[in-house]
Amino acid sequence: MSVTVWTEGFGRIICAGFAVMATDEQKPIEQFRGYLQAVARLQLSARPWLAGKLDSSDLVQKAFVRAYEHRDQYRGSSDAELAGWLRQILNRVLANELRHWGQARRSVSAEQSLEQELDASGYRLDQMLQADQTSVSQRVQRSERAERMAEAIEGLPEEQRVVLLARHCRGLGLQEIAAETGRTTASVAGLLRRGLATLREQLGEELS
Amino acid sequence: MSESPSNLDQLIAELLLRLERGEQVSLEDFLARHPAEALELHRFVQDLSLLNGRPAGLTDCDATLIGPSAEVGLSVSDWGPGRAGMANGDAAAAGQIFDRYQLLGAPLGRGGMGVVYRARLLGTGVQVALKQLRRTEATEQRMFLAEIDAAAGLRHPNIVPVYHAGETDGLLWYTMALISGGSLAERRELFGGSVRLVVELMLKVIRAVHFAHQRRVLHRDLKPSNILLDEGGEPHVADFGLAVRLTEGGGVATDHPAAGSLPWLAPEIVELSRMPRAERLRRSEAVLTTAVDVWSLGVILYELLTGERPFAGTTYEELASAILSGDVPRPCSLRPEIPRDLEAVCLFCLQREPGQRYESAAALAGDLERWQRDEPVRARRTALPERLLQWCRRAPAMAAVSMAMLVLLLVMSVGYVELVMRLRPTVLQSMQVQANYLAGHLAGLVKEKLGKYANRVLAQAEELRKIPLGESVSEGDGKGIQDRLDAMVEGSEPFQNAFLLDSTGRILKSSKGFEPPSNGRYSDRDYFDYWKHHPEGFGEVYVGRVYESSVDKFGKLPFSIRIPRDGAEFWVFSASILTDADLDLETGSLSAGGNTVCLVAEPDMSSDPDGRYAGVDSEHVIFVHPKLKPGDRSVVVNLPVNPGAGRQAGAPPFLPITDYRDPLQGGAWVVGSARVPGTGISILVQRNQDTDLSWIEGSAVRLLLWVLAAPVSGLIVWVFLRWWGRLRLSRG
Repeated sequence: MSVTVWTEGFGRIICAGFAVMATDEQKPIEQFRGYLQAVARLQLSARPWLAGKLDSSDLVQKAFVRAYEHRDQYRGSSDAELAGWLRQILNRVLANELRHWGQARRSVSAEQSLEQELDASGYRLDQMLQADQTSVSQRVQRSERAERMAEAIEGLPEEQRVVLLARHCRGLGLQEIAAETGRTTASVAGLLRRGLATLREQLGEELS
Repeated sequence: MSESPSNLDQLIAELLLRLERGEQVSLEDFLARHPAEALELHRFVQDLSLLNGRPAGLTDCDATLIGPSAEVGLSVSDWGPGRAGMANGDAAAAGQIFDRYQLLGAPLGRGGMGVVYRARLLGTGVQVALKQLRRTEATEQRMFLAEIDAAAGLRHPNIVPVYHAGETDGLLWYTMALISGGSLAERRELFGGSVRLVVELMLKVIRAVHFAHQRRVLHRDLKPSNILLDEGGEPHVADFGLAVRLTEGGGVATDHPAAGSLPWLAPEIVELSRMPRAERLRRSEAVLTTAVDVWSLGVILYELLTGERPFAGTTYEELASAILSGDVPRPCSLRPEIPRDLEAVCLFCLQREPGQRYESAAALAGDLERWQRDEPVRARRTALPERLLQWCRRAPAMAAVSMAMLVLLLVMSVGYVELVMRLRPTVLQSMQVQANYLAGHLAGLVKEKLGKYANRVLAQAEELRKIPLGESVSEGDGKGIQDRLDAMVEGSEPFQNAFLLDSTGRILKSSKGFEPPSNGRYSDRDYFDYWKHHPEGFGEVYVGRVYESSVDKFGKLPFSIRIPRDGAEFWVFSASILTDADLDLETGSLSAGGNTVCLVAEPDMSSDPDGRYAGVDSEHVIFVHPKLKPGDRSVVVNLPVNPGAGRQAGAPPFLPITDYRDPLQGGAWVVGSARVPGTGISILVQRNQDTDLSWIEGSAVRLLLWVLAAPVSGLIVWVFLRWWGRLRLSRG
């Protein structure tokens, strides 16, 4: 599938007033919508202090608009590259929103820029969401799986979700999480263990 | 859901924290140590890897459980696809017989390639450790054999000895000593914070590693968990699983050049691990040197000293880039009590460039030993005062004796110099008294001599008196007068001239060869109007003040006598002798032995051509002195006049002088003086300060020289002994 097909298809979506009408031509990007949505949801979940301020669908929509505007900058050819590029754009959008909400300084070390932090956490999420997808059939289901994963994660009890995302999205260490949540490292480990166990129960058959 | 953390969660926390610190954790090992929670721990790791893949740093995860896994325990690089052979690990079980050994109980531990069991030598109670290779691939077998080969060749008290090797049911194994005190990684408390104990233990490890290096074996995986401790706390280097043999040409033979455990891995190896495989193999020869092990030893030393690893990172990449950065936090910044020299040794091992580290483990050991002996270490050039302090600590007895001797010498010299300073005035005073005495004695001799001269003048004067009154000097007996004057000069040295003046001071006649101007008037000369000032004299003859002749410019001492004539008329007869070196007084012989004898006299103020005498009453002129030639101008000298002394003999004419500067010959002199009775002449006896004080001052200087010579000669002896020692060493 060529870039041309994608941009044309993408343009049509924009022209149709963001109508989510998946035609064959639009499929190349449309298959990432769910995936991107999952990333956005988890990025927001990982930062509980943003709850109620931002909406993941808005973010994804803004990201798509921006992706269209800058489509000529896309240089990749594979699915993975495209997913990465979209994720990067989502991160820019998210960073802007975070700055807007005055959250830029929160949980970000001084040397690291917000974008870098978001890129890193986005990368970790990506790892988590698609685990090991090399076969074509799996690739097709990328978004579905990601969405289910995101749903499962969001369905976790809050404590478990916070700990799990702090570790696997924001990349914090056990001690940092313990300090942030005011728990012992053992209790954080327990939450992590239970969260992972729940995830496995819900998604087990698909992932293994 | 219970909130109180269970033991399981504690263990999970421990595992995660260790991994986050960049440690390599063997999962099998970890599970084996916690059998009660093993199942759940394993499930957790499985869940974790479902989300993120296998956590970095976790090794020995069984392929069937976790998916893609590390190969052959190379915990840094050479990640490859999972291997089928893994599944047949742990085939051995308690009771199984390997040749003449029987396994006892569960595995003691799991290395990269094999499992270690406790085993018993059949028919005995001897227990050994048996390591069994779990796989059957040719590569692994080759590596396992290489391990056996490397370890078996090393017989050293601090290297775990290998006993037997064999093959049972297609599985390779070997046995070694059972070291049961745990590894250094688990026994940090052993040192109780004592830096000395750390160094002591590390020295044994380092020497063992050097022993291996000397046999061309590079360990490559030195870390605290590979240093086992026996019951006595003796360290034993273990696990030669990654060891490589350096070939004769210095090269290496290994399929896995970039292996090891990351926190202890030298930066050059980390760099190597980032290259493509072909490049890696090509460059391995240059990179794999003993410097790699020296680095690891440095990391271990650092870790034991500070309690922290020099390089930190929560992920593999962070840790790797920390190592590559070459920035090492100074140990003293973590624990200020660490000695600076040890810190330097640590940092010297952790030089980014291999060539800048210790050239060998032995060199590292040498420096640590130097530190133990309080000697300056190679890794750090210490300042002189600190080195001195180190020496004092090293040899306190020697230092104390040297210090005492130095202080003694200094006190002696200072005391001696002080003694001399105090003695000096006393010595000078006694010299002065002697000089005064001698001067008094000489004054008598001079008076006698001058008396003889005066008598000669008197004798001629008697003749002149016989000349009848009224007779003119220019006619009649003029011839007789001229004869008298000539006789005065010719017949009797030392007179230079003689003349007769009338009562107006005009010269009537003068001796042959002395021709004053015909209009000369000398009525203001001392020799002419002497009676006004000094009625005393040698009887009738007056010895006058020294004057400078207006005729020939010579300095002269006059003798004069008044010859009454008719009424108020009179003649004055005067004869002079020149300034001289000796004046026929034999003063030269007296001047021997550092003495100088000279005569001074009051000058005639009327013969003051250059204003030299102007207005200074105390001034005298030297007119007899070894340095004066006959007829020289007399020399002005200023001496402190003794106000209590008159013209007669008695008290010295001058106050005691111990620091007199002789204007004619220089130098500092002690002066004794005496008046020649009845004259304005004084005799000076000068004793040279230098010659008289030289022995006493010279000996002080000699003493000081000895004080300096003592340390210098000590230094020479020391250098000689060192040279001698080296010579013997090189011959030995």
